Amino acid sequence: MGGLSLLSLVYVALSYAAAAIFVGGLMRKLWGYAVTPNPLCIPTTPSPATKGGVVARLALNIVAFADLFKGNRWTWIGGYAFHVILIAVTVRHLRLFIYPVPPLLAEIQPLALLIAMLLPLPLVYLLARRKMVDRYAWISSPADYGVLILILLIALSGLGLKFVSHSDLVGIKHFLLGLLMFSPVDMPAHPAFIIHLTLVLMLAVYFPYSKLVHAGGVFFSPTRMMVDDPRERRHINPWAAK
Amino acid sequence: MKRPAATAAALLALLAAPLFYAGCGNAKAPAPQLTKPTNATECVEPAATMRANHMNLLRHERDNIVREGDRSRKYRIEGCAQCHTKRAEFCDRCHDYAGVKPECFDCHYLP
Repeated sequence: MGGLSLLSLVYVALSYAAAAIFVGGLMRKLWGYAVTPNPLCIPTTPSPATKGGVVARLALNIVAFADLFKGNRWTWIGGYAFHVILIAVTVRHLRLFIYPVPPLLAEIQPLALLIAMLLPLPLVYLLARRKMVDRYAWISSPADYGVLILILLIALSGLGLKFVSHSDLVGIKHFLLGLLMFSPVDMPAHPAFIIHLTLVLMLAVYFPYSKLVHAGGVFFSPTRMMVDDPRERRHINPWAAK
Repeated sequence: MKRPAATAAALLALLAAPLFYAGCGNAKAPAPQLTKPTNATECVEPAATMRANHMNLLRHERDNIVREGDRSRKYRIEGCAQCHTKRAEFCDRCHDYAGVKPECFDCHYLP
């Protein structure tokens, strides 16, 4: 670590701290969900009566946001578009974390770019939805706007790096690989990259304490995860059974 | 959730997978090794500018030349080739490293 510039030293420390908070915080949250007692059989009826049925519904919920689709089409369009585009954004970034880059991953970059650059659109749409529909504005908290704005800023700074102020991509990948391999090297002192990285670290730190934990929470919702078979099988409260 | 500990371990392993893929502290982060020209010590712009913006310089030139027939510009890919004679030992090294596939070489033959 001797030869690092002050800027790099600060950001290496911040990166590791953010990663620790992200992973540790998320594990703690999910652990809490996992060990929370589940004394009653409370699936929202009608629900699938078999375990396979519940898994199938959960799968459809994860790949297509089926519940949201049935609940509110307008919210679904924005939310689903956002998450699909996020996959393309992940593909665009994966090449900076993997060495060597698999040929297929390199091959699909131009296609992924076309999709990934749309990221601000659903975010602006979702922001407008919150602000302009009275009943959503009424129930929206600063945190709801906050995550949207934070992710929008990340998207804009990322697009800025690509289209406005291009940076030393090879230097960035070298820095990221250095972090991954626990042998940090200097980061490119490029303003747009520093802004982008700072915002991403902020998101990583905030993630476990935000509503974004729905990414893991979806697996722990009793009303959606329990099998609807209270007549066929008696539900016994786990701690009462002892 | 039947086995929270096992699930947690599996999730952690999944999150840590990139670290194992990258070799986890056994080595230094790989960086592309370039063969530098011997007939010149400076590029047409400072090295930092070239690293970040060579694609923009060349792209703008391409539009000027192909669409407007303006060949009076400063940057030409033929110019690059005068010093960087081996594409495989210069251009390709970084492009492969970052997973970039420029379309320059679809038309321009640079050995």
